[in-house]
Amino acid sequence: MIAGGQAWRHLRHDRAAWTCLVFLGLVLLASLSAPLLPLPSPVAIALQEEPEAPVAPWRETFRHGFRPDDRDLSWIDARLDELRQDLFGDLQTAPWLGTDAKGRDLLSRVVWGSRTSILAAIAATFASLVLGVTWGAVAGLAGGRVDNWMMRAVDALQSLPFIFLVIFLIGIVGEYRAELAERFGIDREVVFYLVIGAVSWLTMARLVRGQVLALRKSAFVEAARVAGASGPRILLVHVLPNVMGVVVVCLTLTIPSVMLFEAFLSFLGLGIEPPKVSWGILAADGTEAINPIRIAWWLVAAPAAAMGSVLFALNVVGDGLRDALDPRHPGNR
Amino acid sequence: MALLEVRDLSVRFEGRLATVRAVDGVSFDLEEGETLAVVGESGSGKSTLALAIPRLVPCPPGVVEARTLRLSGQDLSRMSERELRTLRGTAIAMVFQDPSASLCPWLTIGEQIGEVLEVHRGASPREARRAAAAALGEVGIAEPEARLDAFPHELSGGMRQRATIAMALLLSPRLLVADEPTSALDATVQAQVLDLLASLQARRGTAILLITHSLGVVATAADRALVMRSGRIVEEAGVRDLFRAPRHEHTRELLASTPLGIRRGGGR
Repeated sequence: MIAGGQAWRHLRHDRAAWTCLVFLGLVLLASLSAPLLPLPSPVAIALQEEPEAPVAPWRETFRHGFRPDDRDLSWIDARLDELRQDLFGDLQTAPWLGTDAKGRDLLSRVVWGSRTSILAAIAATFASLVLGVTWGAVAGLAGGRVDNWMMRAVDALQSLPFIFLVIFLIGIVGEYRAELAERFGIDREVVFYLVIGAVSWLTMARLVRGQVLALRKSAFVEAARVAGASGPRILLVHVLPNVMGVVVVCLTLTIPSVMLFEAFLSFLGLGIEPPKVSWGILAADGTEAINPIRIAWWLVAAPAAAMGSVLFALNVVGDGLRDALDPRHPGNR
Repeated sequence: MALLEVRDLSVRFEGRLATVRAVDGVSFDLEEGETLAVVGESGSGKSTLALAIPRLVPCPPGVVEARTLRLSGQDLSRMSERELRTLRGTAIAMVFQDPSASLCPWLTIGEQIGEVLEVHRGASPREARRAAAAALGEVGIAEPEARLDAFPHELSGGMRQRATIAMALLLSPRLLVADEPTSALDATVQAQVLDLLASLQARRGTAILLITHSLGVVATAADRALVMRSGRIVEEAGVRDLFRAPRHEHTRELLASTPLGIRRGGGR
């Protein structure tokens, strides 16, 4: 098997994938350290007539006037925020990406909004890898009646109209908000991520099951059985590594789709609630700002570019990762 | 007592519309150190027979029945899956037709050979590696240490088949079931692989059940042969007798259908 270190080396030789991986790393870093960066507040409203156009950073880099806002921040974020105030005082970046109609800095909103998208992506990845792969592999390997029932469950879930389910769940959560939050610590956001997890593993389960069904009949699995390997061992050593390629490809398709799903739900007002930001909310704001009199193009372009570049990078990394893991790929020696 | 005793072994596959009798009341004995060839045309049931002995026919849809299926006195037909698992790889091993398909493409040669040891002896990766290198050397692969880290696709067909043989014989099984071990190889390599099997057999006294469609292979490698047709054994004979005086019509047909040379000059 290609070990982790080896795959890592292969990936480093793939210049495109490596560049994109570094880019994703930077995005993740920026997203995690959002309170530390000298960004304006993403929610502070400045009353003004029109959105302010982007200013090139070399024309105007910093402005004074940062004031902490009154959002609830987690403990770590609050510490980072204090540190930021010690470091930068009231200095903040000029609106490099412009501001929206309420005077909120777009760059700051994009950075803060990336947290939602990244969390959604993590929820989906986790559900796909843990639930989807296991479900599909077990169904494929067990075959027969077990397979049939497990796949019917997937069919049933997939045939649910998820938008209605989300509306329903969020309605319930809205109704029993205080109680749920108090007893189980469940709030709207948790439900939101759970729903995203619940939809995202289904395709993975199907693909993995199909692949496992084919592999189960393969000669090398037969050979492993003749050698006396147990079912779990065959699954872990012989079947799953051979499914890796499909898994990686499926993830690179799933993550963009959940990011879009997040954006879509937030766009509909079912996802993240203001004052929190997400790329979906930004896109929604951007489309609202489109009017024939004066086009504030940056309001659409900034979230779109953020999302587009991250999704593109994810795809390139996924592609590179699949090649890096495949011993038959030319150049992996 | 023979090493392998088979009496009235039947395998049928029950479909929704029809039942297929792939193996139909087959009986034979296999002695220690002997090579018994099973010949027959495609669909005669010989590969199913090969899979039925280590009880690897998928059930359902398959149904395996036997009055007796005994390996050195142990009744294989009554064993649980767990007991069978400990037997597979240690007492019975198998070599398949196409080594490029029967080796897992994601594991190195060393990992695959060592796996048998890890499964049955609980060996550490390092011990398994050392044993795998020794086994590769024994099947005539040059620089075995260097080949351990090769992936299957980096070896030639002949080397791959040698590696599967090394894997099968690692724990010195008493019975080796070889299902068309040379059919996917080119002619010169075929001869080498058969020689290798013969020399390993001579050294260890392994019994070989050699499934093949090629009478050429039977002539060079087997002591006795079973001729199968539609799931039944139509003739059982020593190799010499089979080529000199085939008794059954189907054997004569098979002999008549071989390329030149084997029919008259064959035997040992």
